[in-house]
Amino acid sequence: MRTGAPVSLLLVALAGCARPAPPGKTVVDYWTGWGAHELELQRELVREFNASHPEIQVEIFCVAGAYQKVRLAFAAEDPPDVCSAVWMSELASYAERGVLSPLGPRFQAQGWRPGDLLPGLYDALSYEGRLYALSTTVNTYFLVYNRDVFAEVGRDPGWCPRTLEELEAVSRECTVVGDDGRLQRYGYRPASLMHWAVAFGGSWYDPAARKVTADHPANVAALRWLVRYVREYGVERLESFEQSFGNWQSADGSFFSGRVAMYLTGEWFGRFAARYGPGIDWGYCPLPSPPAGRGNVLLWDGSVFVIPSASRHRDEAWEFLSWICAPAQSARFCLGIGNLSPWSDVLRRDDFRNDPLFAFAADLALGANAQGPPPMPLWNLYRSEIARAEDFAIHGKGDPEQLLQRVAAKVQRELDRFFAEKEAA
Amino acid sequence: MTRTERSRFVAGLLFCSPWIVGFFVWTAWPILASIYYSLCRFDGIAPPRFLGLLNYTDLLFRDDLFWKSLWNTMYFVVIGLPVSLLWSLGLALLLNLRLRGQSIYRTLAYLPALIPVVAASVIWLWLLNPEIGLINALLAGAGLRGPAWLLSPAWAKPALIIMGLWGAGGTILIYLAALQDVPLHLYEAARIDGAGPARQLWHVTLPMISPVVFFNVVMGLIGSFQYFTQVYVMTSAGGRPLGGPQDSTLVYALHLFANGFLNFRMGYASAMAWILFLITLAATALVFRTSARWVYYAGK
Repeated sequence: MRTGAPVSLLLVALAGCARPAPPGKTVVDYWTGWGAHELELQRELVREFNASHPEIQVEIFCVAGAYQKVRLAFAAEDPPDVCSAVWMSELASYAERGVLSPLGPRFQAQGWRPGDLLPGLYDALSYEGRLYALSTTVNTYFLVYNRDVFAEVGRDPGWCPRTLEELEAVSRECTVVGDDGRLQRYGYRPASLMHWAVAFGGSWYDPAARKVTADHPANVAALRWLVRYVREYGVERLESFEQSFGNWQSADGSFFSGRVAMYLTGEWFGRFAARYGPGIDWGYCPLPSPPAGRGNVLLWDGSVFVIPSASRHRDEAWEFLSWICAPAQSARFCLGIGNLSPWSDVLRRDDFRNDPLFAFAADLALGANAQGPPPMPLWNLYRSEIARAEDFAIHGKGDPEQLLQRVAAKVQRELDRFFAEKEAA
Repeated sequence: MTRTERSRFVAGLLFCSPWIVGFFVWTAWPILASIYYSLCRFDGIAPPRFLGLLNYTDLLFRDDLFWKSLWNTMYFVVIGLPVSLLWSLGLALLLNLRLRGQSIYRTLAYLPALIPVVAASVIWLWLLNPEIGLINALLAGAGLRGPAWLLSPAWAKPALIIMGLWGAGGTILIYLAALQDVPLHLYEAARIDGAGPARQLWHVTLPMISPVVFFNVVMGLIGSFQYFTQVYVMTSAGGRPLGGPQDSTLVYALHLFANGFLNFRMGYASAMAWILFLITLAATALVFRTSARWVYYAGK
């Protein structure tokens, strides 16, 4: 029969979509955002879990570089059972829309306490008091500097700037301008108003009052400082120079190629330096902050593990999630990829403290003043408005205070409407 | 219809069905659904909630970036498109001359059009680099100090237009095909009447290729209103705000994308899409209306 061929083709194609679960096993779909060697390590852990849990089979699927898939899966109510391809900054948006399972009771039943995690992290993984995610890695940020350049400009190579004034002074000393007026090297360029506002003692959001605090006086002070700092070098000159930087994960990166003397980076830097800048003599220290501000500021971000509320196997998903994020597995994964573990006790272990850089980063992570992204459902909009205000301010297109007031007014208006509509519904 | 014919008809339909089903499910239905979503608060996750015309009034009266993005897009339509059409026509005229090695020049002119837009955008990021880019190096060789291109609000849009000229091989090819279709006896007649090259161009070439100019204007118009990829790739590099510097490249489609896919405002983005559709429709209709005055169809 002539119609037989297409029909059977269609049936064969559809049959390929179905995946029978192995008898007696529950299949847990796990989407991960890690790729390359990090993915290999995740796969190894999954194999180990499957071998030690005969009743569950975890199937790992890589969505690295395709996080949009996750949102589509939520929209289609067909998400995986466990997903580590969600940014911490998206948690509030997803939690507010009811697509994530709360994990607090399970976390407690596991015998874990919020204090077992690094300071500030439990809150960063929560929204409106409920835990929605776990993480298996965290990152810290600190200043790395080129000792040879410090020696060249007459500084003691063991010295490190402790105040903003010292940072500005040494940055100026390290800067080299060519005969043509172009930069050949600069000391340090502070970027990210998000970070500096917190370091200046500011805040972006008051969750209790649901108030956008973009125009907090300390945020304004931070933006004024950034503007003054950057304009001293000439914004266009600085940005033109930065356009010539190669990929930061290469020997042509700004620090490894000697075009920048100081650099904001994290605990993974040791591995990068060994690979891309083996001849560079470098040191590290915490990023300075103003006396009236907050020292040792860490803004948690990065990808986290969640269980979507539409998961059909939430118990098994938690079984896997609580295993792969547990201190033992987290430690293995972190040591494998050169990150820090979110568990305080793990960071006190010898294998994390033997490496002086790791021990330094671990102490930063265990210190105070760490926080997650502002727990508000319109964070993406807010973040892009902050970036725009920073862009306008450093280019001299508006007064920092007025720009931040405009951001606050705009985002507050949208947020008020968001909650009003939610309550009306 | 006989039994055999019916059986063939059904088989034919079944063989076409992947396209038919695909068209209705993935194209027609989303277009229709977006009309409804544009009237709703819809974040792409929770079910849509009907709001009436609120998204539209917000766009027109509350969103400062809506007007800014529309202005930026109009810049590409009103300045970028004519420049691109004139450039392509000029090159096509040169490539239509009888010259030695002309096929090599034609190949070279078309070659950039084969490069995917994203790859070309990354290449141009380097070419336009103010410090180490080839363009400013050439300008420096001529004793000129090049601008900061994509870092300068004044130069970012012209830089993108220049990049568009480089990749205009497709349009050039269409013009070239049209130029080669112009009957030679018309030129002969014009020459006998004493017309020089400029008059031949004005009175013979342009009228004869006007249907192709019309086609390129309409396609260029639609393409310019949807301008997105280059600006997305080139201005968001290095974690800078989308559409920078200082919103100078925040084109309409980029603002739409940011709302729909970054800010969880799919209903709002749908309303933006429908406004863009209406603007494009009106502009195209205007070109169609005026075409009777300047497009010449030899058969009519």
